[in-house]
Amino acid sequence: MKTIYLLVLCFTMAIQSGCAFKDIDKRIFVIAIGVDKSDDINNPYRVTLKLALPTQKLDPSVNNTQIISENSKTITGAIGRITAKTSKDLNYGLLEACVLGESIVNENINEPLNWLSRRFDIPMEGMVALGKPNAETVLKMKPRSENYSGNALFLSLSESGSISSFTVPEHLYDFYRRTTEKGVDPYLPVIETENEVYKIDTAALLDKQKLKVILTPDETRVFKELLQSYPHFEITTKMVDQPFVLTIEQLKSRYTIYTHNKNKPIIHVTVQMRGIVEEFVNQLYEENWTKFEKHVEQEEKTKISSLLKKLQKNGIDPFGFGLLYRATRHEGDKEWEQWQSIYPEAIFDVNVKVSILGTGAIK
Amino acid sequence: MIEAFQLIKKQLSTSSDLKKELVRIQDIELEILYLVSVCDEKKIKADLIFPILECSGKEEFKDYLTSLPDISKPEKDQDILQKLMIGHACIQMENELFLFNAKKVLNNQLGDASSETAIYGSQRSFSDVIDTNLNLIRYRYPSPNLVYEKSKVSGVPQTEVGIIYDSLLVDKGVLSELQTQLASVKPEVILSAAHLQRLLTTRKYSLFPILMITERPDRVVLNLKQGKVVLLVEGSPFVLIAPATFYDFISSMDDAFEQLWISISLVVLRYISIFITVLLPGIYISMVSFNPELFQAQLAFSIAGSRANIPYPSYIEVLIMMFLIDTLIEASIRLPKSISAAATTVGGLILGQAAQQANMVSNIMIIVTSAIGIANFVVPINSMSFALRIVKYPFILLASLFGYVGLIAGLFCLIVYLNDLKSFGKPYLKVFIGEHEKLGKL
Amino acid sequence: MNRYVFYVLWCDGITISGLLLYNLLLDERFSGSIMAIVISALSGMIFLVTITKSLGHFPKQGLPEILRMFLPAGARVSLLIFFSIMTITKGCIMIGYASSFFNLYLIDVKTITIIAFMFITVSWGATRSSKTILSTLELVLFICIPIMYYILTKAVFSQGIEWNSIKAMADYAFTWPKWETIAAANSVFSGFVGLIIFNRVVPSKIKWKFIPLLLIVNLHILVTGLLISIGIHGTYGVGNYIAPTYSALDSIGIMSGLFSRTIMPYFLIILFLLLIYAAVTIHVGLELLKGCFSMKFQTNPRKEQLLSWIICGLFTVITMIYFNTFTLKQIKYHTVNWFELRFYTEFLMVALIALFAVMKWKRRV
Repeated sequence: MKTIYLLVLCFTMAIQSGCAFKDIDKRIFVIAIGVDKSDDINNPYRVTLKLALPTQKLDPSVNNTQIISENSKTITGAIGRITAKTSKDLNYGLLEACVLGESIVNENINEPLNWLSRRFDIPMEGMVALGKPNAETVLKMKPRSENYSGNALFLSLSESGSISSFTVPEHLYDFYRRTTEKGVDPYLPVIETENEVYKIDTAALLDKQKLKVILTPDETRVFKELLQSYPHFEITTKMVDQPFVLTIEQLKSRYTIYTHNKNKPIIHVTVQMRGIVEEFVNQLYEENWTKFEKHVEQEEKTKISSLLKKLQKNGIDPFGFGLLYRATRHEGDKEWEQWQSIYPEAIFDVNVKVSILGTGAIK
Repeated sequence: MIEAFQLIKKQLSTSSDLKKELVRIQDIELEILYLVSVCDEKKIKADLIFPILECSGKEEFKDYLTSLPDISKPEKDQDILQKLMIGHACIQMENELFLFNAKKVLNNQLGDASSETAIYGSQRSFSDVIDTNLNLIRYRYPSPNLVYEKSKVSGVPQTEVGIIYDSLLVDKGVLSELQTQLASVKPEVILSAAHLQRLLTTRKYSLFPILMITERPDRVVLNLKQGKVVLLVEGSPFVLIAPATFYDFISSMDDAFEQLWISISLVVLRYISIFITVLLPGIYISMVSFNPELFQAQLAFSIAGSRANIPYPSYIEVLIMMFLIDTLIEASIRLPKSISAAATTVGGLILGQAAQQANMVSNIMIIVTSAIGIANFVVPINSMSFALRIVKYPFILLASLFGYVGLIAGLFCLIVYLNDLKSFGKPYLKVFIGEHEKLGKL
Repeated sequence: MNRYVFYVLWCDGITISGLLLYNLLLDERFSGSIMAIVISALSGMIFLVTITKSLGHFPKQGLPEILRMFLPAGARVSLLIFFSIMTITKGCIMIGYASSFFNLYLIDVKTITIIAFMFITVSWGATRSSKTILSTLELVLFICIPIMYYILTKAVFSQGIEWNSIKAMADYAFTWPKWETIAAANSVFSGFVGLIIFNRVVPSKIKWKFIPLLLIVNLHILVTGLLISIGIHGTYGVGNYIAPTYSALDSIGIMSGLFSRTIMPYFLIILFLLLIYAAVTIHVGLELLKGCFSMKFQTNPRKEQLLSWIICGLFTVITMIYFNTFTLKQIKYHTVNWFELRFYTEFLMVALIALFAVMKWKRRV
């Protein structure tokens, strides 16, 4: 009797659960999603999906991705239309990159960001970037180096592949945090296409809503250096009319905010760098390195202060000075109002300390 | 008594191997009755017939007879018939009956340890005869505390079963429970030790063996030292050990001989193998049909690619391959040695290449299948390895219904089931070995 | 101290904080959840010490036997039924919650189907003997705890954590919490409810030096989860998520070598823990309920099993209907109120046992 009950139970369970069972060959994986502003006024969103086509053999020459774009009033609507075009079930579980078009970042990022965060099946670990001129072009491009569907985009945006001193990686969760947290503002790496390669060498800075300023590559390098205590970048200056390049291996940055003087709040930025000489035609092993260090320090200092001033002028705070203020003062909700009045008037005191560790393999 | 003697003669008269001998020398008159097939005729001649000639009279011979170590007097009539069956000769002399032990043992050769091999352990297994086996154990465990109790299962015919234990170390509760259970076993005939093991299992629907079955003398000695009870069965080269824990089935004899880290890593390896052999088919189904995003993207793409041409849902694919591998294993066990090589070659070809090229299964599935097979062979004791082969099928069912949720629930149920099992009153699944019954002290 | 006692308390803390508490406490992060944790730790420890000391006077006896000694039948039965319903509902709520989240994150099967499936598994576990459940608990913890701690530790040290957000939360540490928040946070330490039954098989004595350890172990899991959520989502963003901790663990690639989404292994661990947790609580509830009946009934294994299965079936149906009718939002409000009721129940339980222990001690003296 017990066995019969058990069988009946199994049977009902089997009927109930049948709907979730969907084989992998009946699913198609979305590996990147792009959101643009379309020209159509009635259907303002243009959503592009990059779908991975499974291949049995690894063959870089075969096109292993499919691009589908649709216009609609909402993002969900566009996705619905795309679903109508595909033969398989869309699966977002392996989504690795979200590209927001320049047009949409210029206007308002809230809706696409909200959509991305609201869905349970989109991993928050994915990368976000600003696509220039639009997301569709970026997604359509297929670089030569790609060995399986869509991984080149992910590798270039994240730091698991190449580590470039001009690419500031941004994860979806971090982007969402920066748009909601008081005292820190979001940024995005700008991705452009160029002859079958992705060019990611600038950063776009946003306030909570939309794009404020796009940095130059040089500023982006400084931005990254201050943003993450993550070395592996080069500093290029000129010494004795020769280019002098220092590869930084260790970096420590510290920020402190002084508000003793009510009228003149000071933000101390201390950066300590240690690096190895990578490019210099002359011999310098026997020389006094302090001269070189001082020179690099001076140069860095001006670059950093000009970047910080630029950010302050635009009223954005991607480094999270506001958050630091909130973390170090103990006045609850009042801190935020105080900070809003402090930041525009704050003075940056930048200290850079550079030390040369060695000269590489030759003297 | 004498009537009984006549009765037996009549009852056995249809057996052609019954031999009646009437000896009449001087004034001594004997009637000897025995079965030629189980008795040593030489021994009868040397110990019974020849001495008559040397004796001067009836009295002297009777004294000689009673002083022989192999002679005994039957207590009941029933005794005579049974003793006759196992190689005793019955002697009638002046209205008195004697039983003379003239067992002929043909099969007391030690075989090679074949079903449970160890590199450094004993290379010999037990023989078919209890006395020889006892001899092996006594020599390896020369302790005065070693008790050998003869016991018999109830019912006719009675197969001889021996119980061995170390009287100092043995758990009294286990011993008495084993004895009562043994007394209540009512089979037609006990075919082998494994048969007795099944008869002693009280659970109706049982899957896991709750008695250890082994052919290795060194394992028996190890278990005697741990205070366990060993059962010897006449006519079987295997012995049973009770109580058994799950861990015993996962340990090989070499674990005791190898260096500490080697044996620890080997045990860990075996536990991982158990998880693989039980869970991997389920993981494959869940991966393919429920949550492809659990593992890395590349893996998902390559599975999707290799599954593209396969017409079946994943669980059918898994069932096909599991069926094939299990039939292959079964076939290679049952077939004669000379043919089994051919069977494995044919099977290997099908499993390896053809099935995949014919788009029956994906190539990842072939890796999964072979991993399951190999992991299953790692379990040292066959009865456990068979049980684990069966366990994976419920997991396939659960995985095809609920994916990973079903798998975890199944694993939970398996652990509860194993914990619920008792081997002669002792918990079956003990994770931390060497602790006493008192539920753990911290 | 018996290690099984430790397991019972540990498992309770981990599971309940992993499934429910993170959400409830993060909602109240600006209005005193930090203080609530501190207060609840104090009250939880007082409860724990009282109950273990009192149970020490009743060796090898569970609550039903203790009540049988001191109370008339009517009071005993009504108390036992109340306690057992409260205990079983705890398991039911957890299963329901977990099923809803599994439905959202793991598989697309209907929530009620998952609930039914989990109940079958859990009921089978819960109807086994106490010893079986305890050793299963040991094994499950043995498998889960290392992975759980690995995930949490790795998450705390991950690059994605914004420590300034966590520091900013310190401003709100001294806000006086609402009563509900304290009652909710207190449930981390409510594992001692299991001891009133497991006292039959294992002595519930705890050495003094293990009490801080218990405190640290339970608080560590709770606080780490909160830290990770706030660090990943920020002080304000964390309030926007339905399940902040799950989303936070989804955000950082911790086991990126093997798995592509960390949330998956974490969910499987939580599921495993939940199954044993629910089995323990429902087992305790069932044993309490069986204490209402006569001794003759309790020794008949067939009837006893039948009763257990009927009770489990009843609660399965109730849970399925409940989670089908209400939305997660409503259920959350109900849960907060239920937590308060649970707090009073546990207080009553501790007080009763302490009272009886004193009575017994006086009688003897």
